Amino acid sequence: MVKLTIDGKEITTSQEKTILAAATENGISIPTLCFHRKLSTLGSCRMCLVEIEGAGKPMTACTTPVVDGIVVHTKTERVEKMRREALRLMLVNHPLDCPVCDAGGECQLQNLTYAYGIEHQDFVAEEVERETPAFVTPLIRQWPHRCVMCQRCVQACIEIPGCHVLDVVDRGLVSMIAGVNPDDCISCGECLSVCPVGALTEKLSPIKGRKWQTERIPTTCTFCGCGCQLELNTVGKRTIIKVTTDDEAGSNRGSLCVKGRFGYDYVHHRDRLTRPLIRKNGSLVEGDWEESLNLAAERLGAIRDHYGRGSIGGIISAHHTNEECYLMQKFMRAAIGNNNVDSGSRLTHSPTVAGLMDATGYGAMTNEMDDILKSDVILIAGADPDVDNLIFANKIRRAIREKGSKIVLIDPRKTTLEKYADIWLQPKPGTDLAWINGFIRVILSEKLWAADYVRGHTEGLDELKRGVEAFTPDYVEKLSGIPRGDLVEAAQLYAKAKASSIAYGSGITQHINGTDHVLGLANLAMVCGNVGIEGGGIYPLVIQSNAQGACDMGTLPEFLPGYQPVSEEIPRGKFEEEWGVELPLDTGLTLTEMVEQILQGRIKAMIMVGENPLITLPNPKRWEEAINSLEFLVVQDVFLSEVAQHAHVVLPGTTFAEKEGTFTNMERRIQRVRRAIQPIGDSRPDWAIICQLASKMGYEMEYTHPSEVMEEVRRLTPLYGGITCDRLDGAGIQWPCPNADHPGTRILHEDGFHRGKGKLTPVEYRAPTERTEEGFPLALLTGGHLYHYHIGTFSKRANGLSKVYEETCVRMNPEDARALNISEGDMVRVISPRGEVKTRAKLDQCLVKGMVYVAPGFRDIPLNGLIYADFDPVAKIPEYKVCSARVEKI
Amino acid sequence: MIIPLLKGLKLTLSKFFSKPITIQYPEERLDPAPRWRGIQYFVRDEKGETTCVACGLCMVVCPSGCIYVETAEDEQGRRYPSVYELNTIRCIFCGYCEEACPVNAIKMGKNYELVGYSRDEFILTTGRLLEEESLNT
Repeated sequence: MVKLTIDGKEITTSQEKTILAAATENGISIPTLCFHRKLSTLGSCRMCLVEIEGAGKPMTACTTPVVDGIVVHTKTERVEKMRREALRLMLVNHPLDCPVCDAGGECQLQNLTYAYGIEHQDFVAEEVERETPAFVTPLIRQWPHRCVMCQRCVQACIEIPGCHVLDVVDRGLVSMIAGVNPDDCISCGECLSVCPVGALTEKLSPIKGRKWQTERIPTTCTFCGCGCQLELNTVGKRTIIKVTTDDEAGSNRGSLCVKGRFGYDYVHHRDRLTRPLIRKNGSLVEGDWEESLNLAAERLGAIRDHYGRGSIGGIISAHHTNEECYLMQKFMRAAIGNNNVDSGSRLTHSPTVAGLMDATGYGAMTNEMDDILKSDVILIAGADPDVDNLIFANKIRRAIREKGSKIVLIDPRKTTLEKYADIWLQPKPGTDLAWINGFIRVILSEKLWAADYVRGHTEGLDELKRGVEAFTPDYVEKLSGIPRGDLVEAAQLYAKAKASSIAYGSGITQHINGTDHVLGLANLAMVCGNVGIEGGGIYPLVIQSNAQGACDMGTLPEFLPGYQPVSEEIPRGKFEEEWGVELPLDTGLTLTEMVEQILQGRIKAMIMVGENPLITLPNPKRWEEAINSLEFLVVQDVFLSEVAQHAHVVLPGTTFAEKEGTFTNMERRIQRVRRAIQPIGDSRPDWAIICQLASKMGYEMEYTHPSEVMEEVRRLTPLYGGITCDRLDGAGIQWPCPNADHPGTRILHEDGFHRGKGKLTPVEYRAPTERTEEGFPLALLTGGHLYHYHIGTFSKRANGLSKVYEETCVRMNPEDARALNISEGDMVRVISPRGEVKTRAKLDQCLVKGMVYVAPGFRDIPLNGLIYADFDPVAKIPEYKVCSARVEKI
Repeated sequence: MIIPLLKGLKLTLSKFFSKPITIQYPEERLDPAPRWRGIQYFVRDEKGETTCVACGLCMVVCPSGCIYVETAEDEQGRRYPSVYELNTIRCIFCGYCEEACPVNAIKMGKNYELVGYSRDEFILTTGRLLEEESLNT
């Protein structure tokens, strides 16, 4: 600790602080321009000059560290004059077009000019004539004349997404910020958000608004599981005109990815359903709410009474709010009377829930996202967070930069994180259990395991030992193609570190043995004592915004809200009392199982809220057949999706911008979703539609606001026991939060495992069902795409994203392409044993030979017709990742 | 007693035969004072359109909150008001909007004839404000 005096005030602070930080902490304001809390200091603007007694010349407060005993003056005549001159010099080249500048009203230069009372400046500079090249992304407009060369954008681009796209080009008067590596730009808009003036402005919305013309509604992003906090800027409660962020809010701390920052305008897309649709004489015609709800209630009621309670199935997507998921399962269980309710998280997140719940007791990310900054080694398996969860990838980069964390990357593809990886292992698709078991064997045989931890906190070590015995490095090399030396080195790196974490994504879960993969990774983490400690943990990366919440809320056939089994007496009794009905005992059907039941005639009617199985699930022909054979289908969606075209009644729901509620992000944080605009047209929030439908079916659901639903969840679900709407304002709360005084849980299993002892489960290796075979020599991989979310229902309709979204394409190794006489941009047919799609070829060095990669544009190339139609026996997730294929030039 | 009466009648008679000062509105009108602040108008540019750049300063400076502006930007980055509404019923004709306007797009006019049959007629949009200009030139 050091003691210093600033403006006569005695301050005690720690010695790594700068004068600026010490002053700000103590309420002394020093003007800044180039300084940004998120970035390392630049010291370029000379606004924060302060005088230190004894020092000859003024010093910049943002770069000067505090020293014991110094006396600082921040407002002497000398420094004020210097600041004024610095400002005047900046204004020499800065045009005074504030009235037409986006930043007007929020511009730091404008504020400082006003504060320092500068009414004119006498310096004259010759007009600089320069050509302005197009900016690196079409989503941002650059105004080079307004630039004050603070270089915050350059710094932000390097430090946050790790891209180094921007830099200063040329010198002297003509110097300007321009793209030096334009191809690396990921359009995250970090430069835009840190620009202190209006040199970079948003180029997406034609409608603009000053701070006083707009409302800023803080809400939660809907484009991935990170749950970033953002502010929707709206005009007249009608139109969203831009997205801004608060640097303090959420785990994203003001950063966003391209989808969050520029993907908002799908909300206003002309395809939005604005009126309910009813099938009359074979085609869908507009109806009114009363008529369509009555029809739906009457038909569903009739089918329930005629065929029995089990004859109806319900699905809700994983981007609906917690309240809506809760109401959906309550509707299915109480109003219909069966457990056939499932959510879209079946297709991405279900192995995590099943696997981690089995191993540890909670099926969710063990630590909070920020905790990865404390990891010594980060093992990233089957995940491309730069594409799917950019904010998490940014945290990984920060960990590398600040803590020097080591990275073990395990992916068949060379992802963008490869350049940071210390070791990159490249297993063949579908052989993950080989290296997982191989890791554990190396760790056990080299005595690198945490013996005390394993003996004290886990069970099943002996079985695990036997289970992994066969997985010698040689054997693993044979199965997965990972060189034995690399495997051993990576395992040692993971095990020897003080705290290592595992982050995995869809490359681990979306397999027919996805649950086993998750169990295997849990074994690995537990064997090294990495669960329940700071810097350790298991990070399942979630693609859908509320995949975690949908599971928490009990849209699962076997669980009531809060993972309380339907088959157990005690939780069921509590729900029966609250809901006033007798609840069904037997486990219901999962999303992937429903198709067979429909075709066998056991399910006669379906309610689909925002899900589109014709596009997301394998074997779409069978699904289409099933859907056509349904007696009644109700679809609730914001757009007329493929499945909605087959519906008997289509009810227009709303997007996240038009309703209240909460999302639970992948780090278990429950955060508010707030209504920013009025529902478009005659659409209604989905929670209200479900309530109205239930009431019409004779089961009263009377809620006036989603907060009342959350109150009911709180009463019934110990996990959410302390969650009330007013507590969620601000940072949100991480479950488990059993009571109103509980602050939430940052790290799970800190005081021992939730299930008592961590369960080590030996997992058997199963070779991928589909080997590359005669006639289909290539391995087809599917994965995320930066400008794309899920199946593109939203992202394909966002103007901003479609501006930068390249056409859907199949990526292939240049050598493979050459062998097939395919060059960049050729139209090709991708054929698997089950079907084919036509698309364009793109050559990609990052893919190894023998592999083709399709970033899904699912809606324009129905890839689900190609993939293998089997699923995981536990989590019932389809095999999305292993598929053999061949490519033909057209 | 008769004297004051006669005095009064004298004044009456002198006024009776002098030129009347009553203005026969609306047949006759007075020119307002030079600094009179009447209904606002928009200045036309060479194309006959408004020069307003929709900066929103009038909106924020207006003490009675009678101005509503929505800003739009065209492909070239030029700005214009996609919605401009001035509610003259609420307006107190203080002239702050004219004073705040950085591009001299809005001016206080001389027109004081604020009449209409419905409330909507008192909301001046861009088109109405441009029409007002002809009353001021």
